[in-house]
Amino acid sequence: ASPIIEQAKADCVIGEQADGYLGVVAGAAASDELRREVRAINQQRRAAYERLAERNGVTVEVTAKLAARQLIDRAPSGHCVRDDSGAWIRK
Amino acid sequence: CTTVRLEGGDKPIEVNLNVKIDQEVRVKLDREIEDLIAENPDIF
Amino acid sequence: RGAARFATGRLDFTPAGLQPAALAPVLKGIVGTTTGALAGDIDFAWGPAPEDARSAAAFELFDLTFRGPGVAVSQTAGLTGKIALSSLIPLATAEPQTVSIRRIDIGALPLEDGVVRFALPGDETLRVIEAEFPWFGGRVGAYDAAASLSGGAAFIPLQANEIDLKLVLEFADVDGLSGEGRLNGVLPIRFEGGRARIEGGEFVSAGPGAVRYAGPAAESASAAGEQANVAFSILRDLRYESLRVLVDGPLDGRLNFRMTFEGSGAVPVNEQFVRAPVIYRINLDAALLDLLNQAVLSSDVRRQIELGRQSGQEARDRRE
Repeated sequence: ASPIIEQAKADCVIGEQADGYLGVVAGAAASDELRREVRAINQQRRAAYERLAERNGVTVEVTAKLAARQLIDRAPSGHCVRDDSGAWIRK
Repeated sequence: CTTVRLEGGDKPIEVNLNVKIDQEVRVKLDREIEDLIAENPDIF
Repeated sequence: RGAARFATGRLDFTPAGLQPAALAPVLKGIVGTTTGALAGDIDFAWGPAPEDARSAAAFELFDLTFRGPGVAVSQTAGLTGKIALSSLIPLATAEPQTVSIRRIDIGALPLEDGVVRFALPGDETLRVIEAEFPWFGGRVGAYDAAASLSGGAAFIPLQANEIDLKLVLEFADVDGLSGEGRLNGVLPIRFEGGRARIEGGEFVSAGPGAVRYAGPAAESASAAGEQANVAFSILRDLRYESLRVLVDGPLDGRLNFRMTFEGSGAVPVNEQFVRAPVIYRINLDAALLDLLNQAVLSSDVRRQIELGRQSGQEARDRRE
């Protein structure tokens, strides 16, 4: 993703959530520009999940959560991720 | 025996039908997601 | 003191070309890939004092179609009409505006051919005065609902009126399922974190009706034991005096439907059928998507049937 996103991930300002979308870490200061980037990325992820869900006859939610598992596993240490209960954890 | 006498004033029969449609998530989906993530680095 | 008018001319949005976020960066991630066109006149006025600075605009939308708004709404298609803004900063309208929408997809809930009357009070909120769509022979709509323009969260209580059960069951397209009746209800939708959920959806019958199921599950029921046999024989022609349906769940995931019929059904008694009063509850857990393309009551569905009497003990004594 764009440098602004990669930097924000590395700094634990944003991170992967258990629902398959990017989120702003609780309490982190995120600029308007960063928030817009995150919104735009989540919109495109949702479109991708919808196409995949349609093709496999499952719900968007199931597809998004499966993607989240892979994205969270893949997040390097030092990045923050959010679990099902909503708590942010630094890997 | 299971004969059921139903007089007019009898209590209504109660039926509880629970229907749950399970989606078996195919392994294929997991692999497709891996490809999706790999092919779209700009959003993942 | 001065004033100027800026005519945009017709702006055509194309996926690879002009996009709204280029005109107004604040729209990035709210309005996604857009097609259709927009034309407008923007008026600026200024003067010695800061409050003399004013802006207004009149836009015409030509079949505007875009991903969003936001993440929860998959697409808004065919937005057409004229909008007059009394101020651009903050975004405000002097009186209600009306636009038509060809289709809006909130996850798996598509609404088509609607008309929306709205206002922008200028406090960063959108006031939906009336947004109504034809739905299953009746109509569904939002009336006097408010949503914040900036934040993602909103709570929109949709109301459904004069819904025709016959059309709903035809749409569900379940093999062997038919019925008739009229329903009214509410579908409260909460938008949060990019997802839309129905919270406390409830439909209530307006007058008597009936549901009839003679599909595959009914045929295989007699082999599946006495309980299934009774349950499905009643369902062959379940006439109800009252029907209540509760609906809850995410629109992009699995919905839970809890239906309660109070009426009568035919019960097998010594090789013949007797019509008896019944209270028939169906608890259905399915994705809206599944409901549409899978037989809900098909035989291979894992189902669990409980058959009881309102006062089980009393009935059992009578039987011994």
